[in-house]
Amino acid sequence: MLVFLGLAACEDEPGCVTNNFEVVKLAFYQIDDTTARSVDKDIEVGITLVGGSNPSGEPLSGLPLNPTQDVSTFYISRNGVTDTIVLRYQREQQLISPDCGPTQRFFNLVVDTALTTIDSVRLIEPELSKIGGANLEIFTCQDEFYTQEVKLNFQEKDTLVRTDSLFIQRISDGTGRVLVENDTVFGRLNLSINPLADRTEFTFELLAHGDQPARTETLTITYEQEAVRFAKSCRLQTRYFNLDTLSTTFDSLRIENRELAQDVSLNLRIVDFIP
Amino acid sequence: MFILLGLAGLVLGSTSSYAQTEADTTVRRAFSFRPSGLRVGMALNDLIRTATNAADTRYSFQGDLAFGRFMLVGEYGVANTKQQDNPDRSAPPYTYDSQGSFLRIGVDVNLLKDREANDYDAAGSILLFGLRFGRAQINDQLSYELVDSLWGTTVLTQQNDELVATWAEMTAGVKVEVFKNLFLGYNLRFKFAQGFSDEPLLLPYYIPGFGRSDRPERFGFDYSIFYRIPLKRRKARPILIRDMPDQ
Repeated sequence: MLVFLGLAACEDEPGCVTNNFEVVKLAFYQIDDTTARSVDKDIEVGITLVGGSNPSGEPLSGLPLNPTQDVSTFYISRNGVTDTIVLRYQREQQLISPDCGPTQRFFNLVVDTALTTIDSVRLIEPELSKIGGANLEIFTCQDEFYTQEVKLNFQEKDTLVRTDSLFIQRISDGTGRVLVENDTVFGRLNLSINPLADRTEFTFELLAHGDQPARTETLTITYEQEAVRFAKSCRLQTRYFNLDTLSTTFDSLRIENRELAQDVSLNLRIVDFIP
Repeated sequence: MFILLGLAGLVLGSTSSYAQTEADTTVRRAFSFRPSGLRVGMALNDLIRTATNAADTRYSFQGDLAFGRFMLVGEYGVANTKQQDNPDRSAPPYTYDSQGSFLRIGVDVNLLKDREANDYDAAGSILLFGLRFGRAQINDQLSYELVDSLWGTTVLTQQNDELVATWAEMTAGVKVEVFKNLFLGYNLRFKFAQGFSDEPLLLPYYIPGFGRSDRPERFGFDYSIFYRIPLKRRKARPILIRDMPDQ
């Protein structure tokens, strides 16, 4: 009788770990007319919270919902272009157990978007959970595939080792636009081309460093451009290709890739520096 | 669940064997709609929990009105709880208060034959199987401090005002007469189909009469003490109808 008294007066306590989650999981796809290719690991996505902050500076891999309100706004940046996603949801509070304390469940997710470069957003799972796949699928028109930046690499003569550091006073283009000023880069540099012309002349004003005297060098590149639309619902984009060098005062250079694209690691290798 | 279904099968089987035959006579027992007794009681496990747990206050009372082998059952109870964070644990600071009550109504049937009276009258010790409909009303509030590395620190408060929960039950148990008209008994309950009248933004920690709300189905066990108030003499005399033999 006493055993029954004790057993029946007790209830099993739940564990403190739940599947409740506060981050909307994303999956990115690039589309064309016939397929959608998963590109989760291929692109860099910048996520900015509106009304919140990211003091650690660690890149966010999903959309962390505001736990104090029923709506959260995010700016998603890719290749310098920003799209806005507004998420509305419901929150349910729960006391897991007296020892574990409270938790919060996010569910009934609804998506509002102001899209610039994202083609569409599809809601897959309206409840947030640690387990399971993505909540939102984001379909892009491969805007991040093309870029208006030429990627340069600077190397030492003879050894062809990448220059440790480049001390820059100023880099400008032929229109007078200053691209870099008073900076030090570590052997790699991305420079924006003139998108309205078929050539760009770069002027490099370099500071003295070690045995290297201060000097000014120039580099003129040429390229072609064409309008591209990846899918009927995608916007028109501009592709820059057939990169070539018209003239340069650097000692020598080599073209590694003639297409200006996000997934191209290097366009021009400039060999000119004394170790 | 299967034990309860098996008992349900016993009920269906036993209710069909309502007549007995002896020699050249047929005895039919009249079915009376006059209640034979009222049994009232309260749950002892709730009393023990209330006495041993300062955070919880629970009481529940039960009454059943016997009509032959069937009983009309009504149960009422109260459950209040007051919780707050334990400094020895890692839970964030919080307070949780809940007040609620419940009502269960249903029907039980006695499966235990009284050998003396040769019937299934529910006046004495019984083995019961029953069905219930349960309804609870809850007022609760949760307040806690939320620390978020991205969105800052804030105090969240959410409450329910007269939230209604309903559920169904199958129950089986015994009530044993230990002294005249004094019974001790226990019930095993399977509670299911739990739902709320509105979608709550605060999930109640405990639903009075049902249990914790983290699952839509639960088992329950309670043991009670009862006192029976007789409303008529316990042994009803059978009305004998003799069929005359053919001439």
